[in-house]
Amino acid sequence: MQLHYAFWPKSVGKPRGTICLVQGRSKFIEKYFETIADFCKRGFVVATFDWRGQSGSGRLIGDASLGYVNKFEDYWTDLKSFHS
Amino acid sequence: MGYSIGGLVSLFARAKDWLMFDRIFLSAPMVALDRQPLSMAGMARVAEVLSFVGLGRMLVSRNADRPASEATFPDNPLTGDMIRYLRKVDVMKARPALEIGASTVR
Repeated sequence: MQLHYAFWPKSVGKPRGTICLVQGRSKFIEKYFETIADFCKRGFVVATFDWRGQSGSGRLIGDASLGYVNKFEDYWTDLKSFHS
Repeated sequence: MGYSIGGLVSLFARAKDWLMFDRIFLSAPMVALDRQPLSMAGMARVAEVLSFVGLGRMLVSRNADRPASEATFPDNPLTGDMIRYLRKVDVMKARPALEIGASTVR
């Protein structure tokens, strides 16, 4: 399973921290550009990803529009994998 | 920062691995379904029965699940900011594969 992800490092100076943006169903990285820009202006590094089965990430079944996952715990697997 | 189902997964993460994040900020975490006739457990049983009888692929849609366009802005429940709303419309036009449909019973 391939996850689509994006990362905004801090270009100058020490960051205040890193925000991991964990999205909702049917959402995608591009939708959060404004929020991410606001976090970056406040000195944060931002990292985010698209959940499996939706948006820019891989699909588990042929119908790409269903947002299908086998079980809820798969989302936890995605977050754990991304975080590590 | 966890939004909607991301908020629920963030809570899951906190319970499973409390060292993963220093802090968690949740926005509209999906911890329950709104305006349902039964409890969450009751609705889960209804969904299981419907799936068992072959209705698992039936859509469970809301106004917010309609494909966004310039025409849907006036009645949309998400925002009164047209520029923000149309930004999503523009992204969908450029990358229609990013969009998924409404949830199903299953």
